[in-house]
Amino acid sequence: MKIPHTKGRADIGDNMNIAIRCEHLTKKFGNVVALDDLSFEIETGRIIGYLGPNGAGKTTTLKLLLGLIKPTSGCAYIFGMDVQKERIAIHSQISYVPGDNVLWPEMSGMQTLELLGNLHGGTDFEYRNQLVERFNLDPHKKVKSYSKGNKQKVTLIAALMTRPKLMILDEPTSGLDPLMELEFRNCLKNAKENGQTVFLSSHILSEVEAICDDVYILRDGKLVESGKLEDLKHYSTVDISIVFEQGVPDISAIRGVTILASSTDSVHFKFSGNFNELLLAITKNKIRTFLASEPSLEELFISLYGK
Amino acid sequence: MTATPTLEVMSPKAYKMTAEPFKRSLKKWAKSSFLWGLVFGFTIIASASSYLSFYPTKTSRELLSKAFGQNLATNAIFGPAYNLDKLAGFIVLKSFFTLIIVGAIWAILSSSKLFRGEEESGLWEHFLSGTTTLRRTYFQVLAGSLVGMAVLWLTVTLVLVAGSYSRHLGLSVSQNCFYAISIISTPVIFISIASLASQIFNSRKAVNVSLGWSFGIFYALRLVGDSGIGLHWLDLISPIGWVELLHPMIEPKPIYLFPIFIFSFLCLTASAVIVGKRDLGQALFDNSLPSKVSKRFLGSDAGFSLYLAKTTLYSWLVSIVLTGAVLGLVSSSAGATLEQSSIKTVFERIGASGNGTQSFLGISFEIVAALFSFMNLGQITSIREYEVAGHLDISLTMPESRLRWITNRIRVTIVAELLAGVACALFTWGFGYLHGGGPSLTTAIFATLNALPPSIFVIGAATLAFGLSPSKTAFVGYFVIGWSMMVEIFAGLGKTSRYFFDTSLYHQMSPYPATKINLVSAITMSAIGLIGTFVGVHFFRQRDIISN
Ligand SMILES: Nc1ncnc2c1ncn2[C@@H]1O[C@H](COP(=O)(O)OP(=O)(O)OP(=O)(O)O)[C@@H](O)[C@H]1O
Ligand SMILES: [Mg+2]
Repeated sequence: MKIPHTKGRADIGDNMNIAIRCEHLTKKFGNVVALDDLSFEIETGRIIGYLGPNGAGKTTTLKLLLGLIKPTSGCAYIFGMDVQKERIAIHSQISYVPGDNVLWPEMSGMQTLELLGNLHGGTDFEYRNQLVERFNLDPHKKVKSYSKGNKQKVTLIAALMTRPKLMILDEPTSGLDPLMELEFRNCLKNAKENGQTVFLSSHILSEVEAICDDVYILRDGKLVESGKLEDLKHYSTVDISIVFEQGVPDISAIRGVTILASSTDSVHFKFSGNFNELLLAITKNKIRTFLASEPSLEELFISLYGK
Repeated sequence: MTATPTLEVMSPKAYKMTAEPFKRSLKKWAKSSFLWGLVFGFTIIASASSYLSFYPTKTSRELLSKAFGQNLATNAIFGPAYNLDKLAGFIVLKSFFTLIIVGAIWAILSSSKLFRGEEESGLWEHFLSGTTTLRRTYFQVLAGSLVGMAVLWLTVTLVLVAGSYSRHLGLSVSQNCFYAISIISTPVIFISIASLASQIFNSRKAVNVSLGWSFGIFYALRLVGDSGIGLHWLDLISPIGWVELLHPMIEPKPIYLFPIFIFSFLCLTASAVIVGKRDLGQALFDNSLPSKVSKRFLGSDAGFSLYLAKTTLYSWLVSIVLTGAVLGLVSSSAGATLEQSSIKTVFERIGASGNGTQSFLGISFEIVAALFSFMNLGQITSIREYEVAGHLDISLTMPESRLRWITNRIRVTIVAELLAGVACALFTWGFGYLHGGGPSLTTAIFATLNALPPSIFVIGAATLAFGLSPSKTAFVGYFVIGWSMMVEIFAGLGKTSRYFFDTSLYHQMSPYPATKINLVSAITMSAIGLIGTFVGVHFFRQRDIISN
């Protein structure tokens, strides 16, 4: 297989505003193709959401970028450095939050933070302590006695406290309660103001919508969409079920409505248009219950691309 | 088509019926039980054959019996020898003690992993996310372990029955059955203790340490009990003593199965009570307060690698030092008996000549070599466990190279081994000296040095596997050690091809001080070990890091 070789640090030297660059990345595990000819470029100073349903290849991509696994073919660069060959130089400028909890159960939260700070170097201690407060973490207990969310906080603080140029986060909000999730978003906002780049994976659309500047959507190891969030608004479909007191008003004419099921008193539909328009139409009749939910990514894909 | 398969899988009933913990536990035990069963069985048959060929006449058997049977030192270490004028007695002398030790170590390592390690690593959380309860999970793991023991019993019995039939050893089926029962007694005891310790402590490490100490104490009790100073009753309070008192083959005393049964039953009942009351991940002594960790352990990866290994290494250090001390203590009296006994010819077959003390030390330091091998292997397999647990994903995304990371681990292993070696030599010499005999300091040092190359070979083999096929790390390591031990036991036979013996690390190691140190072998083993390590590290630097 031929891969166009444009690399070498010199040639990307004038392109220092590129944080991550993947060129035809392919990764196979035996017969399973986890990533299939993936190419993209990410500018510095942005928050990138890396979306995809379970098994899409998100974690695989992150591990390739970290040099933990080797691509079957293709290559990747972080700040112009080859992720396989210049691991040490790259790792001193990035931090990583793994998808699974992988901390040492017998150590306390604070001991963990100290260890990771010393290994990485460049801890901003004041910021670290501030983070511990903001996340409301009791750092003096053993990691194994923490709940899932508290464990997650430790890795998040560890990733933030060294203020690295690039943060690679694998489902960073899993386990966090809504309040903490908000706190985390603030931290990312601060990071962005500092000029740091964030690359985070998720399978929750709304989360990415709330935090990210750009989105990359992966499915079965292939990039299916990418770009600025505004351009991808058609993804923000809502699933709505309404039960009326009596009679369903006519909504089929409204732009963005796809009716899935309806009876005399109830209707179930997908909606991706202007909410004011919709609300005006449905409030003509009395409503008994109203249920709106965001479809899962997988559902979205099915509706958009078929299975 | 009315029901889709997905629906079936999702139904709560299907969850309730899940036998995943049982299947997993059974799979783990059955495989190793079968393999160990074969090893145990063939070892016994081999020792029987060697008896028939070395002591063909009645006179030679009586001589052996006289010489060996009254030696208090060997009684204390290996257990009393009975009826050496009969085949059955010799078999027990040659194999029973080794099988007790191997059975105990195997049971300790496997059951601490199944009863606590897998809970700690989060596997049980998956089981519990169905409708299975903690208690049910525990019982399933236990049931799997006990069925595994049945597999061990059956395998040993079958090999023994077939072996004694084909070699005309004249051992009855009931003798063989009871010997197999005696052999599984030790693992059953330690599985029971492990299940209890796993309810008391909430880390596998703590469970392992407590099991190690139990083993040490039980062994020491029976050691004193058998040392002929009138404290025979100590045998009666040591579970290992009970196993010894079963007297399989010779004059079976099934009555001692009773305390073994009661003891195991009590441990298991206590476990069941605690497991019904505690939560996942908890234990009776739940210390959620972290212990203080010195700054230097957290300051760098080198410090941290020491922090992770130190508890295990302390335990090994203690066992190796104690072994050295015991060897020093008994070497002169054991040697004196050996000198005038015909068992010396057995030792001579494995290449040990020289005076009695030297022969004794030559053979005994093979035990020390095996301990060193196990200690090193434990370090390399813990590197693999670190990867499986996902810790390596964190360590290797820090600005430090893979080479540096693994070098830190291997360096801890080698430094610890050297320290243990020095301590062992000092204690062997010191205790021998206190007892008014034993080897000189130089002899003790060289004997220890001579015991190191096999364990360096083991580092090489395990590291090579870790680099090339990480999931096989433990298997390769234990295979190399297990194979070497087995072949060395066969070596007493004296009839098989010497190329076969040469495949054993402990046969390659010369029984110094009984003979001169075989420098060529020592250097070859060390060199292969080093090359294996380098190649393994080389491949580790290139390969994918795969966590669970
Ligand atoms: N070590 C491995 N061996 C074999 N297959 C693997 C391995 N790691 C990942 N895969 C496969 O590669 C594919 C992508 O997995 P990956 O973990 O990258 O998905 P993901 O997008 O992170 O999913 P999730 O949202 O569940 O975390 C999956 O089909 C997975 O089964
Ligand atoms: Mg993932």
